[in-house]
Amino acid sequence: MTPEQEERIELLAEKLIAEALTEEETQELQELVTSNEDAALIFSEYMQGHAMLSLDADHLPNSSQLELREPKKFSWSWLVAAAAALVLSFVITELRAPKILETFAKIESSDFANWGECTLPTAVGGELGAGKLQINEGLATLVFKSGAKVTIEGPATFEIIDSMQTRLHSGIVVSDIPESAHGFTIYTPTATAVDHGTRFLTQVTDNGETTVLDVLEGEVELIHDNKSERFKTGQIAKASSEGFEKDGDLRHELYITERDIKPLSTNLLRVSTSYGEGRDGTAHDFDPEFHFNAGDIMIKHSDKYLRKGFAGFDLKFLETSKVKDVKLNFNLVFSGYGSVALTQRSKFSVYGIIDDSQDEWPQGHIVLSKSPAYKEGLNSIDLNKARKVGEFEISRGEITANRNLSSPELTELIRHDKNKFITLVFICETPAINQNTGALIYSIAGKLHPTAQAPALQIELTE
Amino acid sequence: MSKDSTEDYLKLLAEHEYAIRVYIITMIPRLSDADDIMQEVRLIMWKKFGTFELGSNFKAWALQIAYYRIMDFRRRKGRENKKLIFTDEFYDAVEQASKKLNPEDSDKRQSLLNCVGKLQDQHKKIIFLRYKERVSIEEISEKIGRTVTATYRVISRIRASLKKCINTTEKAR
Repeated sequence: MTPEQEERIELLAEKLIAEALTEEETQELQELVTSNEDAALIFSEYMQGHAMLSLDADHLPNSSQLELREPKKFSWSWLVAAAAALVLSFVITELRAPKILETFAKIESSDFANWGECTLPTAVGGELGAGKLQINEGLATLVFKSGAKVTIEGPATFEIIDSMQTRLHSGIVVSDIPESAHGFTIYTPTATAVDHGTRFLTQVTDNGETTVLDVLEGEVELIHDNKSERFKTGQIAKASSEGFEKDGDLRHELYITERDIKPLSTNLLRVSTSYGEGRDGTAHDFDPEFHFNAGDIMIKHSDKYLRKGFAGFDLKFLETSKVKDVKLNFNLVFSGYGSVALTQRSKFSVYGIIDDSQDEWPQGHIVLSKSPAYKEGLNSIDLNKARKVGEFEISRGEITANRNLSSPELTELIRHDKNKFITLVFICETPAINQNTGALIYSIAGKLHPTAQAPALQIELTE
Repeated sequence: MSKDSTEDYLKLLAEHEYAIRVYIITMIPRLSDADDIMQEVRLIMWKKFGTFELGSNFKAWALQIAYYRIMDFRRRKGRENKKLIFTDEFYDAVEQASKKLNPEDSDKRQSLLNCVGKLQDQHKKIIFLRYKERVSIEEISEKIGRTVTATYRVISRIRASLKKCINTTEKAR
């Protein structure tokens, strides 16, 4: 392997990561990597470096203050400098506001939307990059940069890939596609709908096994099982493991109202931290009254003003072996402390305490060193006493939001808890910018919060 | 699943999750796709944990499940885009090679971060923009005043120098 070949593999790998390989380059990389073991190793090591940097991105040295341009080694003539200044004055506003992620769409409006697990901001006007949106009920309308307009009807899970490609995991979306966005594509678990100028409804039901397409106006192509068919105004089609069904016999209103949701039943319980012995609080190791809200569960990643949040749920009435599924629901609220402008998109982890001896802790103030699963070291947690049960993100500027979190780990934690008291720990994994001065303290409403609801476990039981 | 095996599962998962995620991203570099695959892998491992023999190699078992999910994912993608990007042979070669690397070695993780810290300011900032702030190559090229092609070259060279730094640190240990 020559140094030139090695360099070439690394350059192509970087382009692969940026999704910028041409067809010829793809072919070239394919041939290089399969040519010999060394080449495969160089490529894998490069990609592994990408993986490690991506996973440890939050721990990279903060370099936002560093200079990006190298010092000029030669001087511009006045004329060139003046021309450059003129050009620069047009682009300077762009440069001043660094774009954090490439965005493809915007939330134009939302009507009574109750959001579920989302990896994207949910505020109206929010700029959306690639990621998932889950809406439990209500409507949200997205406008894509391509001009496509999509209304999501809850309950639904919808994913943005880019400004021309989306994926509907479940639920209903109605798309209005102008000429500029012809070719706009909605992937579903069983089919692909490609627009050819229209307004159409797409529905995914039966746990993703069936896709229904209803052409309200215009023409849509539906691809299923390597077969492609076009449908026109008034036509309806269904793609499932049984193949394609189409035309008039499917066209009755029931199609749209047959939903996956089950009615709320007695098998669903909601237990908040206000119930029984339930409690919530904040752990830190400085003056207890300093920047403290009794009604909040406060969280901050800072070496001097670290705060961990705690929520405890009393489940002594519960037959835990009957627990089928659990969802943690909580409300983000404004703590009033710190500047929102000094925050960045932040990642949070939720841990469940598995050592029942750790379940004794007071409402409100908790001494950090006596807090459940405490371990020395900034933001550490003792993994012999706690297990991670989930994570979530808060976007920059996002202050109030309702969040849901569920995972097999959370369900199992509850199914196997012996003393039937569940302690959850909230930790912010992303260090705050200016962490010891003005950075925002994140808050979740606790049981003493004056307006917002306390954290709750929504527990589904088997029959 | 009993409480004991739940604990075994969670403990093993916590121990190897990082390596599994690195393995997936090595083959599927788009992070949102890799996250989806990881989610599937966790569910499958969870369901099949009963068949896992305690004491045998959890990581190897997990990577095998991950490999099948990756292959399934790229076939699904291939159907969507009506073509496969790379052949099976390509993925086999990468999978064989990546098994020789041990990303979960905590010294290696730490060396990577230390080596980033040792980069010259401009390069440090480029890595920060690319990975932490996820700025596109096009925008970085605008900011550093170079062409897009030159920017790819700059980044791949920074990455090569990081690799060299990590290898030197490892040898020195």
